[in-house]
Amino acid sequence: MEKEIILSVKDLCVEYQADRGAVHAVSKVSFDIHKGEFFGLAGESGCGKSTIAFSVMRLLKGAARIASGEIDFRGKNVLMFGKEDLRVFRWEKSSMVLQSAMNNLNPVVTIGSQLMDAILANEAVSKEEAVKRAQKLLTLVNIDAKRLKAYPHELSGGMRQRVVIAMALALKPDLVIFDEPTTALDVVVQYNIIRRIIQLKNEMGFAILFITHDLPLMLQMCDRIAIMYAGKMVETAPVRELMEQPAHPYTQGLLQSFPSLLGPKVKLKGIGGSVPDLITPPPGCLFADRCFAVREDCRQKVPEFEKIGEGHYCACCHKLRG
Amino acid sequence: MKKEKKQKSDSYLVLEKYLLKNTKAKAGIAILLFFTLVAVFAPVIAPYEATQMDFIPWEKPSAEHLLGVNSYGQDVFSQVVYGARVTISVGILAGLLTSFIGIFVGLLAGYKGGRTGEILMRIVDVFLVIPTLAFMIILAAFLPSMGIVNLIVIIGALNWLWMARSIRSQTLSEARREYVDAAKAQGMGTVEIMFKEILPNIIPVVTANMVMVVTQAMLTEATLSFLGLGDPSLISWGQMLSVSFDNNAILYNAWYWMLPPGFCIATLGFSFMLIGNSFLDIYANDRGGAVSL
Amino acid sequence: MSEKNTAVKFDHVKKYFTKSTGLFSHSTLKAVDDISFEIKEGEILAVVGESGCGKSTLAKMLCRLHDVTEGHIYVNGEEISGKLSRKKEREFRGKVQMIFQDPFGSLNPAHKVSYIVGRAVELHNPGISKKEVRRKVEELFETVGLTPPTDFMEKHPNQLSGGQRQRIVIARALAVEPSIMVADEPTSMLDVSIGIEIMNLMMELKEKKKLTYLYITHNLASARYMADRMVVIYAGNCVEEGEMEDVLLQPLHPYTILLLNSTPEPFREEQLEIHASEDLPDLTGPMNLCPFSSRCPKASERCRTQKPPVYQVGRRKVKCFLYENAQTEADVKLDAGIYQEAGDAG
Repeated sequence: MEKEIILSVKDLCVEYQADRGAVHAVSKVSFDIHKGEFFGLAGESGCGKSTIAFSVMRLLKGAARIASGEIDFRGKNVLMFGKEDLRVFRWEKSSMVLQSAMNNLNPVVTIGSQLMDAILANEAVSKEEAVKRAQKLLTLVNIDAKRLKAYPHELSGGMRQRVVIAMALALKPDLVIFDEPTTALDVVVQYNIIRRIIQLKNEMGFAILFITHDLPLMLQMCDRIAIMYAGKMVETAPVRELMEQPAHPYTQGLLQSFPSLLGPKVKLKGIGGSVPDLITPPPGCLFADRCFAVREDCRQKVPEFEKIGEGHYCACCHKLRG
Repeated sequence: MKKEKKQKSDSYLVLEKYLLKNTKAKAGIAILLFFTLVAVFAPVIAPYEATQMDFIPWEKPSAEHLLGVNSYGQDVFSQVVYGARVTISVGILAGLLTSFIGIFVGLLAGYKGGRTGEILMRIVDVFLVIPTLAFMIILAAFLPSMGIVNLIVIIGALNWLWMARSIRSQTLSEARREYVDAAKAQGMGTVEIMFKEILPNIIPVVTANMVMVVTQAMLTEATLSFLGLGDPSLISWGQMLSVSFDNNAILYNAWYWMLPPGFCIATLGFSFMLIGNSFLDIYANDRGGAVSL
Repeated sequence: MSEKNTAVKFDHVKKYFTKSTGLFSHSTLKAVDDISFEIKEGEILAVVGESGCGKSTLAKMLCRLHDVTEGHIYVNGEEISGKLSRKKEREFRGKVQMIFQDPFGSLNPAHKVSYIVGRAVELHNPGISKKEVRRKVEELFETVGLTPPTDFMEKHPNQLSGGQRQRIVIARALAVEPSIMVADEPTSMLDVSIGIEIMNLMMELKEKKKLTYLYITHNLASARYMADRMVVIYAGNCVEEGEMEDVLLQPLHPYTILLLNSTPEPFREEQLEIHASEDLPDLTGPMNLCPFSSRCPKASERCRTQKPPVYQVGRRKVKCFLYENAQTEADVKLDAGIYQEAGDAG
């Protein structure tokens, strides 16, 4: 049976206003995240993956705006939310952990009171209750409850990031967005934190939108992965299928860019060339210039994001399967 | 953004970025340009010689004497016009001397660090606690004559302290960047790294500082002249203020003698401040921005 | 193992930084604490470790950007640590060059890339004509894959992409025709698909120009891709040294085991639950202990009071008491299982 869809993004387009014109940072991106799912969004810098996260949270700033599309959270359109709806949505229904979050804790306030603030601001509970909840939250992320009185600078980077995760989970959201949460941390710490996130997900049942450029990490952790390139989603598939039968040449190229630690040692090719200009994108497939399997029609026809298997979608005119 | 501007030269881009797009800078430059033109074309603009003493003392401003006549029977307007020459040239030359010392000491102390930097900065600290003006007054009193050259040297040699400090701190942060390591790994010498690698990257700060020291030099010249320590035969705005004060211009209600030079000093100083501030504004906003320096 | 000459030799190298903690007190930060290893000619040696372990300090000491507190570094048999005469210094700069981590910081934004590379050519060929410099720069641009060179020569670094900049950095290093290249995380700031091209370029150049590499990275997978041999550094100590495949297939030191099992790897059959403390080593603390003892599940009292020496185990060197009496790798059986026993993470 299909699980409940928590987040549904349909044909999302986001533009940045630049001097020369609009940058199509995200164009026509669609995906669903189911209840309790660990959904990964991968891509290289500038592919629009963080922009999607910020769009979902309605946190786009400055020159960026959602040009078209729909973002539904449990059937309600997030883009139509008023102020109060948004407030509730942002804390209680969904939350976000950023890469730099650990450096954005208030340095002059103990982590305990920062955690309690998050609880008290959104729920009518007594102070004692809030302390208890904060202690429980810390133990959830494997920090000794006694550290409640610690100031951020007394904690290591990994611990601070755990505190941020605890804050994100404070109000038991249905969806947690992680935007490169462990990129700045060492691998040992990263491993521990991500294992813990998965455990908590299984215990609490929230869905995860996990954003990173670290494909091996994602292949190891996620249930389903979406690959983005130049603002477009090029492929979505369950993790095994994506790894074993990637359909899009970009996905194949990306998988060919990560040296393996234990697998066969092969010469990797990488992907030559660079991302096209997103202000005046070329007609046809945006990946055509870098594609090893490019054909005549690729430069004219914009590929549709089509279903090619169970839960497997791909935007390529010549899906390279089998 | 870069592509369409490609045909414009780099120096034009710098000019555009630092000057033409900033209102403060534009206003400052307009004022400076105005005074410079006045100084250059002084003989054309001034109706009389600055030292000509052919008029009735204490005459109020009139069509003939736009700013009246002073107690010696000299035309104040002509003096203001000619005064621009001394004030601006002392300001700029002394400012340049200051900048030269300030840049060198700042770069050396910031880049070499260690003992050299420490010693240089302690020297700066010692000089900073000595009241510069008092020191200059004493120096001026001891010197047999106070020609324009002495004036420039004294002002120039004593104003570099703050500049050296600010350039040092900028250099310190710049010296930590990897391109400096790269230059060392290439085997470049200290002088080349200081002047060819680091200096181009701190130019906005250097320029902002230069503007400041030029202003300061002008004001110092005015102060020294006002205190009667300048060259009495050189007509500068400061000297005019000083003479008017000595001759009890206030008692005679001769505002037309005192206000114009004062106003000119303030306005010119203000224009340099505007330019300097605009540089700092822009530079603070885009450290390592897209335009190359 | 072979008759190849030693290109670089670190001999009990230490680097301490003193930082003042008060008016009269100061603490010593042991960034590199007694590291010895050799790089053979034509070899790529990977130095692997997490941030702050001292691996960059190691690179900078080899490039004479940091001086050595204690110990000696030899390049082609000649000592290069300590004071050098002007002539020797110049000679050295022509032998050892560095590829930096940050292609945005290591190129001077004030200069055109043709100047940056051309200046390096000039410095090492005094008296060379302008025309000749230009020809050499063009040649270098072609060598690093920036073709046609004229498309790039007149650009400033900030007009190039990260990958292109890193190619310029490599071209600048090659300009002096060095025999040894020190690469300090050269791909960590680049996108992977670009990074792999840079790695391929580096390996290609190794063959073409007969280079020897010291490759510094925090990424075990990229170390494996590039290097033949690996040195694992923890808190300024070289905890394990050996052939790449040996270390990856059967890591000996508890830290190597932890590092290996924490590295994301989709091909790993099972996902182990690892309980390891995340305490960072105290680099300012006492020296007479194993720096990993605070996190090691196998640590004994001795590990906390005595610093383990280096033991030769088969083809490998390990700095751990567990291998005191081991003759071959099979004698002590350690695996990730040591981290599964009850332990408190965090």
